[in-house]
Amino acid sequence: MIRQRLGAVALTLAAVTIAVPVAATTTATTIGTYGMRFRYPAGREGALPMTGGQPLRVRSLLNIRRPMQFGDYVWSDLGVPATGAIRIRIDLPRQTVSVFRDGHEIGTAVILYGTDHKPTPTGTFPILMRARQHTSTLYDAEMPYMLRLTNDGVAVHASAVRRGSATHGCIGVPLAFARLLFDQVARGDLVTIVGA
Amino acid sequence: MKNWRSLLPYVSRVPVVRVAMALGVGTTVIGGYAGLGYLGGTVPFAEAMNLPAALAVMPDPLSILTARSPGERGKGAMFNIKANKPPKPRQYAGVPPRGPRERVLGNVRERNPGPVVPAGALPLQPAGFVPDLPVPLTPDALGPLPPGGTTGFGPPGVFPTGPVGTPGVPGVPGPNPTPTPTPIIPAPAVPEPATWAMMSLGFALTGLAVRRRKRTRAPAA
Repeated sequence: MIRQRLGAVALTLAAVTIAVPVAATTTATTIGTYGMRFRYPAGREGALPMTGGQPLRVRSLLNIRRPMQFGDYVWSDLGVPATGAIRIRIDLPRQTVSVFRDGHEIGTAVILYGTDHKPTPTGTFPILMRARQHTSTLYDAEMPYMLRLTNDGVAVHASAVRRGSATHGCIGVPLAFARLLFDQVARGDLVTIVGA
Repeated sequence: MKNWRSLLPYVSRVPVVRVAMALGVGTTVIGGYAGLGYLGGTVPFAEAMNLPAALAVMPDPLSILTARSPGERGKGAMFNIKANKPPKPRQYAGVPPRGPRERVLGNVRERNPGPVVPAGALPLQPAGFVPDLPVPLTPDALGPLPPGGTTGFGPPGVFPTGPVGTPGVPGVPGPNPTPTPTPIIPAPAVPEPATWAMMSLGFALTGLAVRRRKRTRAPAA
């Protein structure tokens, strides 16, 4: 009897030892859990409106049940086919970006976008250039993991995503998310920026 | 009853319990298969679940995106990229400010006076101009002199304005020096017509004002 109780206590201790560090090292910027995904059944895919084109057919979305905060991102491609067309949808009024692979959303984050004086253009742009280490010649600023969208300098790049900040027209995403996104996309992939 | 396992041989003889155990094993196997398939990227039992999925009302993807959004930025909330200044501390009427507030020269910097030297230790230095040169000022140290002078210093040579080529003028070598008189253009004695006009207009206005004042004062007196 005493040995069983000791065993139970040891089991509980082991569980706590494993669970507490996992909970402690889970960064606040990654919310949601693996497998939490809202799937649309085949033939009844969702449709996301896109700027000036036909809507994007959505097979599944990351199921995030609470509003994200500035600097948050979620990346999970578990249960998603490894290959497929990459589409990026940037929603300016909702201040979010969604990365789709083969119709499944694999990443989302809160973004920064341009001010009213230097607005972010809307439309569909192919990625013209990728640069892991980029320094803006226009603003003399570091822009890691830059994905250039237009020839006049609008790009998706890492920046300090905080409430109350904005950009000169670029799309600012958290650094870790920018790294994941950079490894995911290729030149020529389409990025759609949806305005209000 | 030492152990719960000791109950198993007795319980397993009951048919109901056997059925329940079989159901549990089956559920575990099927659920494990479904979970693995789900993680592998396929929807398990899609055909079997097609009917309830087709009947269910699928939420709009935009509503899912809206639920995760941090909110919309206010219209015109951000006209520049600078953060808003912190608000000024409010001054209530009748309450004097807490203390003197300096708006300029917030921190006064003072120069370090350096080590104090006693008065007697100061070396005697001749008053007057002391050249700030490491070497004594000798003609050798100054290098070659410019052509045309005994010394390079002193007041500039007086250029002759009289007859050209007067010998013996210091600082002007050669038999025929070229006179370059300083172009001093004196102000003309007669003012410009516009100046005349402005002056006479001023006098006229002054006289008019004087006359007007006299005229208005006369009936009052």
